[in-house]
Amino acid sequence: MTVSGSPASTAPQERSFASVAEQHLADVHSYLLYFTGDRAVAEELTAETFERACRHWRRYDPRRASAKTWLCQIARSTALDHFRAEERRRRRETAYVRSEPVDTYEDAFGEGLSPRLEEALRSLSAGEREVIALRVILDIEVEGAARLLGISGTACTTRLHRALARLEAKVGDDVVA
Amino acid sequence: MSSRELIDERFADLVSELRSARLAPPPELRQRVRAIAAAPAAEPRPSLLERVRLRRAALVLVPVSLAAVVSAAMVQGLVSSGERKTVDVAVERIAPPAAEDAKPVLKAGARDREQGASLPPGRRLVDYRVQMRLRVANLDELSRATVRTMRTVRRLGGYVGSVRYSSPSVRGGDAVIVVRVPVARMQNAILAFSELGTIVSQSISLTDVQKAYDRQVEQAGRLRTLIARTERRLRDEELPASERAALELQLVRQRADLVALVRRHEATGERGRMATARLSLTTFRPPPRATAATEPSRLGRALDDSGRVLAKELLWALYGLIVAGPLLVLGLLALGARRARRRRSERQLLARVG
Repeated sequence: MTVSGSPASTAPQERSFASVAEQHLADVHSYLLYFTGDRAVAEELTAETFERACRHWRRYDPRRASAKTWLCQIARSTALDHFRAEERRRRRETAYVRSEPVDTYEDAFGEGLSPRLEEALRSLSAGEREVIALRVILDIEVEGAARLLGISGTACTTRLHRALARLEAKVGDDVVA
Repeated sequence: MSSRELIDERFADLVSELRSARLAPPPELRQRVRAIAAAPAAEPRPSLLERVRLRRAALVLVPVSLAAVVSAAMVQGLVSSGERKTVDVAVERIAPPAAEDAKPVLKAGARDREQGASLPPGRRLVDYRVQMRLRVANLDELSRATVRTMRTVRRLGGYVGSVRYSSPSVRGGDAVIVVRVPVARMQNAILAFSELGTIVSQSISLTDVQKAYDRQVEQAGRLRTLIARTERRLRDEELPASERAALELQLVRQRADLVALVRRHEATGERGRMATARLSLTTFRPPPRATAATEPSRLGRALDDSGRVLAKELLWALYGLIVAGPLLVLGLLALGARRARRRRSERQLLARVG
């Protein structure tokens, strides 16, 4: 996993999209995995994200954001579109969806996580998992993550704190149970 | 400062465990993404609006607009400063000249007369009144001009109504002469008067009195008929004494009315035949106009006009701002509300999505 929180100094013309995609594929995939909590959906959305990014690569301005943040913005937009479409679909097919079994994978959030942490992560909302992904997993700085989420830096820090507190509480609950 | 340092130490173990997980994308996904990246980018050509960045556009548009506004003001200023000359000439032709070198004004006045400012009366009776103010060089000239005026009037068959000559000091004086000149010769009189000095001001008025004259003729005819009828009735010897007395009184009134009417009629005729001219001669010069002394150059006028145009443009911009201001505020509020609603809906969506 790469760490590139600060804007890249090289112009998009100087770096090929292929190299950027190769470099940040894991980041985008991890982010979408945490965001959606579904491995299959995350993989699908990752591919869609890179398709969109490839189309808009010329518009990318490294002075405004790092490639990782830019890709995460596209990934977020793609995921939100997916969530909205899913919600509309569920509204149409309420009866069916209510009984629809949700595919659960072991190690959905990565290999090596304890089952209680996996379970606790799954119980969090997408928004809570998203901020954990951005700040903890991708290690994006507060300002970048805040800009991506469309909130202030303080709100971003508060959101992360609450998400981690809730996650810790869930993990604790599981241990007690 | 690293992002890691900003995360609460209390969650260190949790964060550490989360970061220890291996999250490698599956090879199939990597292949798929590689294929996407290898494919030629088919980015749709961005529209002009998308290509033009707002800040860059503002950096260009704002100076260009300012330059255009200032240029328009300067051009307008230059053009109008050039036109001023014509306007000044026109003003001078009707305004009193300020200085001694007012010969062109005199010529303009003479031309006016030739072109009909002093319209020659036709066969109709016209009340013709002229007022002229002339400046002469000194007291000797004033005296000479007064005498010449009287001679000219007599030569033209007119008469002098009144003369008021005064010279309060050796430095100067003035004279006011009211003359009556046959209407048919009034043009000659005006030409002669204009030779006496520099015309400072002049006014000519013509009022048709033919209609009033004709009406008086008709009224006189009616009155004469009435008088004749009254006289005929009075010749009747069988007329009762009381009625006779009343008719005699009526006859006296009718004759008095006729006499008054005839006098008015004669006065009207006299007004129509003899024009009145009021001639003011003076040696005093009006104080020089302040504007004449500080008459700005063309550049000065151009700058002055440009300033005025700029002020007008600023005023229009202010009006525009006042009119568009509330709309702009509403637009910004709507934009802010839309953004807030979108964020709220996103937040709600993410809260619903487990």
